[in-house]
Amino acid sequence: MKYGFAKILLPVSLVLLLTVISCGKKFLEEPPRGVTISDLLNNPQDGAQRIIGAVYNRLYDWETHSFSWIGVSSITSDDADKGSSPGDGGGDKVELDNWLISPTNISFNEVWEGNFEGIGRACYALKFLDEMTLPPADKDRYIGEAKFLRAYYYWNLVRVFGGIPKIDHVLTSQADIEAASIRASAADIYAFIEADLTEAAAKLPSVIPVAERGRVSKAAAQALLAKVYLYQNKWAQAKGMCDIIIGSGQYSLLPDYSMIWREAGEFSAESIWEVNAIAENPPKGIQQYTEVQGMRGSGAGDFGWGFNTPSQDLVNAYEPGDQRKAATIIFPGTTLWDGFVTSSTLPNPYYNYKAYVSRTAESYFDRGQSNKNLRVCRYVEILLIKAEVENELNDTTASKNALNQLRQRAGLQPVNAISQNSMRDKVYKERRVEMAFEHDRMFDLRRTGRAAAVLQALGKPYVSPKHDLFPIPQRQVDLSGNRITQNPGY
Amino acid sequence: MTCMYSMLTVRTSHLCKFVLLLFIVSCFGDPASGRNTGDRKTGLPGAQVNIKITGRVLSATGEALAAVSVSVKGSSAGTTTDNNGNFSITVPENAVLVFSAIGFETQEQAVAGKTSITVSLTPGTKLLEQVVVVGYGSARKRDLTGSSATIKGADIVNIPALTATQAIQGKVSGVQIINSGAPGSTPNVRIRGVGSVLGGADPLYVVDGIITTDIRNINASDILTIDILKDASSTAIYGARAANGVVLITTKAGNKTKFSINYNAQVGVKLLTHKVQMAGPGLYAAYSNEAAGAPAVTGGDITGSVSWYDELTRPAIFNSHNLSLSGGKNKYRYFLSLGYLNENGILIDNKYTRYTARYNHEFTVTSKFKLGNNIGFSHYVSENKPYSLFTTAYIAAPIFAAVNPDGSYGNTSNGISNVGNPYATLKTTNDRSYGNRLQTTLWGEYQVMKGLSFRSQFGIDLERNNGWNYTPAYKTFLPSGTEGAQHNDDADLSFTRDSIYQWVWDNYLTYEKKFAKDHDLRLTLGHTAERRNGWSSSASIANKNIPDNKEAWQLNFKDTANGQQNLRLPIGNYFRRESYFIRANYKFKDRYLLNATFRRDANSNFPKHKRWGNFPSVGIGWVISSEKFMADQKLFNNLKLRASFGLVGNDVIQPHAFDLLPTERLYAYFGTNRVDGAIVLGIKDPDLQWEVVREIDAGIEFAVLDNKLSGEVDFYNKVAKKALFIIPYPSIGFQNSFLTNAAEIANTGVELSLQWNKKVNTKFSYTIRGNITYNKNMVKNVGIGRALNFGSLGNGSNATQTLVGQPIGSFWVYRTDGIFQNDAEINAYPHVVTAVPGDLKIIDKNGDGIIDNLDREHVGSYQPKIYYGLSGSVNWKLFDFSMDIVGVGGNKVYNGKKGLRFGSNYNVEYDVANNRWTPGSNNNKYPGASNVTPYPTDYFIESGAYTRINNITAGYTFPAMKPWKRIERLRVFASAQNPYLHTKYTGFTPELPGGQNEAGIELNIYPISASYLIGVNVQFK
Repeated sequence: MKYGFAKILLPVSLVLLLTVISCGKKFLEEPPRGVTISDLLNNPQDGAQRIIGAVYNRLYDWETHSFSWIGVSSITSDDADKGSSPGDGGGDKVELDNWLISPTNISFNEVWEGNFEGIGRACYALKFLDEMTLPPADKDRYIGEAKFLRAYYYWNLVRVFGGIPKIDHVLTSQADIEAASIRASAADIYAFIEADLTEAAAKLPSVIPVAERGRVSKAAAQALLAKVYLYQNKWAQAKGMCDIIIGSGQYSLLPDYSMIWREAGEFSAESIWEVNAIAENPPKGIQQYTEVQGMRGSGAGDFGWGFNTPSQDLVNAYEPGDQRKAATIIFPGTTLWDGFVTSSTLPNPYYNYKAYVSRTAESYFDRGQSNKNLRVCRYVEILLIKAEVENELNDTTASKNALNQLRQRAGLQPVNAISQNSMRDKVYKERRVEMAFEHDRMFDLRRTGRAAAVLQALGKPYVSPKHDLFPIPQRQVDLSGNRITQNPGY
Repeated sequence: MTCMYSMLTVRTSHLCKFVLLLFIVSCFGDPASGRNTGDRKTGLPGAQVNIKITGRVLSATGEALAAVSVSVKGSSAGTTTDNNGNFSITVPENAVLVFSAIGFETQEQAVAGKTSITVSLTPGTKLLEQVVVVGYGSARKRDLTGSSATIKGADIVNIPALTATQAIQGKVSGVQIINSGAPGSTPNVRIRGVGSVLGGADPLYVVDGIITTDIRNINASDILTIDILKDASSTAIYGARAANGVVLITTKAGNKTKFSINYNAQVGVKLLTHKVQMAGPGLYAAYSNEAAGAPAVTGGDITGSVSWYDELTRPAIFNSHNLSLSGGKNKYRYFLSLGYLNENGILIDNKYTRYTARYNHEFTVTSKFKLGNNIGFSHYVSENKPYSLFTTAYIAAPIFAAVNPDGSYGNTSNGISNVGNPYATLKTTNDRSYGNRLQTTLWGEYQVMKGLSFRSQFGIDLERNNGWNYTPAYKTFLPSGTEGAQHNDDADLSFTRDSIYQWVWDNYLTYEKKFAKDHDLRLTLGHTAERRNGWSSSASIANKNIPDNKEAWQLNFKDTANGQQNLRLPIGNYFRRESYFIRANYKFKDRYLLNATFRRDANSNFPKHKRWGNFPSVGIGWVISSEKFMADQKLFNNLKLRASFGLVGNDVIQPHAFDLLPTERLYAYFGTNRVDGAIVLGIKDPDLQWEVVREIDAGIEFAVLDNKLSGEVDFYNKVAKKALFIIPYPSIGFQNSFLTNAAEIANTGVELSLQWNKKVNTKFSYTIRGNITYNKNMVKNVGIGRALNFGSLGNGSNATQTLVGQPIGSFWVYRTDGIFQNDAEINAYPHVVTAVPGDLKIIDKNGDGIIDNLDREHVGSYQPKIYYGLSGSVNWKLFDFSMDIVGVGGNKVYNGKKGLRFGSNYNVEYDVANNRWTPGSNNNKYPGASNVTPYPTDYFIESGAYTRINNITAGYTFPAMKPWKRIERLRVFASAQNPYLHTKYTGFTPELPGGQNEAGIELNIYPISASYLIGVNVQFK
């Protein structure tokens, strides 16, 4: 019997042994088809650039920076009217213009989804960058970029919605999803933004080579941080950031204001950060950004849909002799900088000149994908923040010195010694005309507590505090199973 | 020492190992086993004289029987026969030898001094002796503790069906078959309910050891048996793939003593039954005008009168021919067959043709070593037509001509309704798919020593499917000669090519041993490895002047000239799998049974740390009828109780559903350099794993009244835990759905099957079989998930939801309470803004004064609560007659076609139009004429219960005829398939196959048809 037992055991163990050995652990490796994360992680030089590129990519999308963003940040304000033809409501843009807004307006949902997807991509980028082997300086820079971009996307969201879910890592479980599907307070989000920007400012390079234009720099992080402080009335911190940027001597005002939004004015001495759009095949502009705002008309006069047109109130806001007026607003029957003559009977009274792309004197591919860089941060804004915070800190002189630099460029007389209160109004007014159609006006009105008064004066049914935040998109409330709460009043 | 398995070839190193393995095994298998057996007897008391006996065991037909157990009655001594049926044993001269083998009656022979004994065993006639295939082996049904069913090939061969599963409808309890009328289609097969929301719901198919998902390549005439494994005790040997049940198909083998040629043929015709009558031109115009509240269809618009269903359908001829040749000699046996099947669809020009060839061979190399192969080849050609034409025919206005007098296609929109001419679509669709499939098993079996054998089996499945689709340039015209809106300005052409490769290599040992008289043990231990891979390529070109001559159609799959588009994608389910399995069947005193199975499975579709899973099962059985206390009773010929418990898995999931895969082409510009951004967009569950199903089964098997009445009753409870589910969440950066193992689904049921066999005399016998299954399906838990919507109605609404507390794919509709008769009634009740008199009155269920989704209710599902089959057969003299009935109850269907009319002037059913509400009619059943998109309401929900005569066959077998003595058997028969359907459902067919979350909606359904055929079976010797 002993022998018999051995006879069974031996072949059995041999069969098992052979199959185990022959198959080994590698047998079960069946890689997914197509490009894998490993392909990116194992080629860090190229991989890291592709990963960070995808985070930048969201800046070009319709939801993030195009029609809905234009609607939420600009059409709602006193600077702009809905524009286009009376029958074309632009989805919900007529409701935004008239302040008949509700949680089901598509623009809010698109802004939400556009920016949050950017945040998700940034979280993925940070996760992957952490796993990659890169030269320390490169790695720092990529991490700085991812943090900057995450802060930027959050910045846009917190200004629109107030408190929102705080996403600081890639979710991987039901528990993660549950924890993330609720709103953090606006203060928490601001703190998160500040932390990201502070780290980004420490890690980003000061100088961006020509071949890398569009990537963010140390000053971009500092500038955004200044603005984030400004929104929280953290005057001293905001001043500190402005002083660092001004003190670096790296930036200056472009002498000709009207040059800034032309192709020739891209990445000028005044530019701190731009979304770098290129018109080539395949094109990569900000999706339909210029088409949405382009002049209406027929034939050669047809530049687009004509939304987000300058309001009469904005036109009236310019002081006589302000060169910025003609550089900001397209009037009927005028000759534009490239020689194009506008119709004397334009369908809308005015159009946004800062969104104008020349078909003859600039790179042009098509209407949908233009070469128009979005000037997100200009040096002039640092001067404006400086002027505002110095005044709040009771240094009217420093405030005037900053403000007069841009007044001078605009062809206006310097402001004279005045009180803190009147200086504040001067700064607000200067900020409005200097930065018209730069997607800040509505948020400026709110942060300075003037939104209700200004908009009600124009006959808009703006109610404070309800309208001091936009509604959380109903779709997001639904997707959360009502765990994301609505803003008060909606 | 590691290696990669290459796709088509097993590398030389493997062959070497395989040969080495066989060599090692053969070294240990030295034919010394006989001597050992002899030695064992030396311990016996010396009073008796021991003699050495040699002998042979044969079957009734003279075939040598291997592995027959030869034991000495009253002692533990024994041996087994070798592959030639020979044995030798040394026993006392007065001993009684007991010969037993699976599938045969046990026989005793007194030695009585003989030194040579030849025994002929007769096949077991009792149900209990029945041998069933159990996966990596076979066993007597009597010895099993699990729930399984066997169907003989002979029982399905006369049913006109492409796949064997179509033919087993109603024949097995616990197995629901939902057939489609489409040529070349596969039915839905659901074993013991639907156990998965998002994973696969189909059973596992194993054809001669090759695991597959599609059995359309198998000719039903080649099938010896189909074994269906239902509970964990029987399925756990297939571990992570067993949750939906297992269908084992065994193809025929030759007979060593008998040469025969068989020829079976059928020819028949299929007819569309239960055609829904549509409104004619007059009624259509009246209805449309009433709906529009203005003249929408005027007399001048009516340029023809057409019944679109008549234009598109036809009586369809089908036929099949099968020729097989089988036989063998001492060392080999073979089975060779050729098959042809041609199935025309009732949709004009729709056709499926299949050619099959099979060669199964077994060769006995030495008394211990056997080799064999099962080679199956199939080729098919399918002429496809869009099934959506059944819907287009429903909605197309009846007021035009399909074909104008000059032969051109009629224009069917003409500003009236935006529906293309379905006849023109039918005729201009040139969509053919065709392909080949080679499915081969090669095996070797070696008897290592007495009771221990080793089998190695290598299976290869190669599939190539091709297709082209050509739409010529064509136009449609009004009778006036004006060109219609439906046209294709230039031809379109596309090619597809799928190549699929799969191999599986099984190695296992089987050990059988009888210990100390009362203990029987059978062990199976093995390993298997498997790989599947494949690519799908397509090339298409649109709007080019391509002639309709097929010879000119040449698309290169790489060329991109002339705007050609190409695509190459991996076939959906590529994987590698590896498993170890062990099974022990233990029997004590021939009546206490214990079966234990354990399989350890790995699948490359899961993350590394979740890749391996363990799937155990245990079953116990008690054959009460073999107890001593049952010896005196006459009622029960068999009475057996059994129970089982086990865990099995469902690993059917998209490959790498857990893996973070980057999305590319997310461009950004750095300077003037375009960066091809790539990053992950959604989130994946890094711990994603197979679904685990806990199964409990308890059953009784019995045979009474001299085996005339036999049956089985089973209770089962299957709970799928960790079932795949999608969790929705807000757009917080990672899209908004997450696939994870969150759900729990229960199927609880009772199965009953009964069989009555009566042989009245040699001339007259009959059999009645019936089975019924009750199943309750329920989603128990979905984690933090919520209801998932499915079942698109093609009008913007969805009709089904899968959610906790309801069956999978429950209909989710508004309840209605009659029809608004006037404005006063509308104003008095919450209503939708479009409500007008004549509309259905939707109930404001939650009473909030608003009609919205919160008012919808779940009103049942497509899953039947019961399904049943009943069949009877009678043999009288040379005549045979059989009939079988199938049916389901307790299910609902959604008559989606009725809800398609909105906006455009679509046609309506005659009944709906003719009986419509009109002001003052007080009609509360059929709504008034309307152009508004209908809400998904209970108006569209109907009972899906039906009872159908599935098949009636009458046959006559000719008596032996001297002039044709080579003819052993000649039978002719006539048969009707689906001749009668009893249902209250008003659509085409209540039998609506579909995905597990949205079956039971009639939209683009190919109707079931009735078939009438004649056939012949001839056997030559």
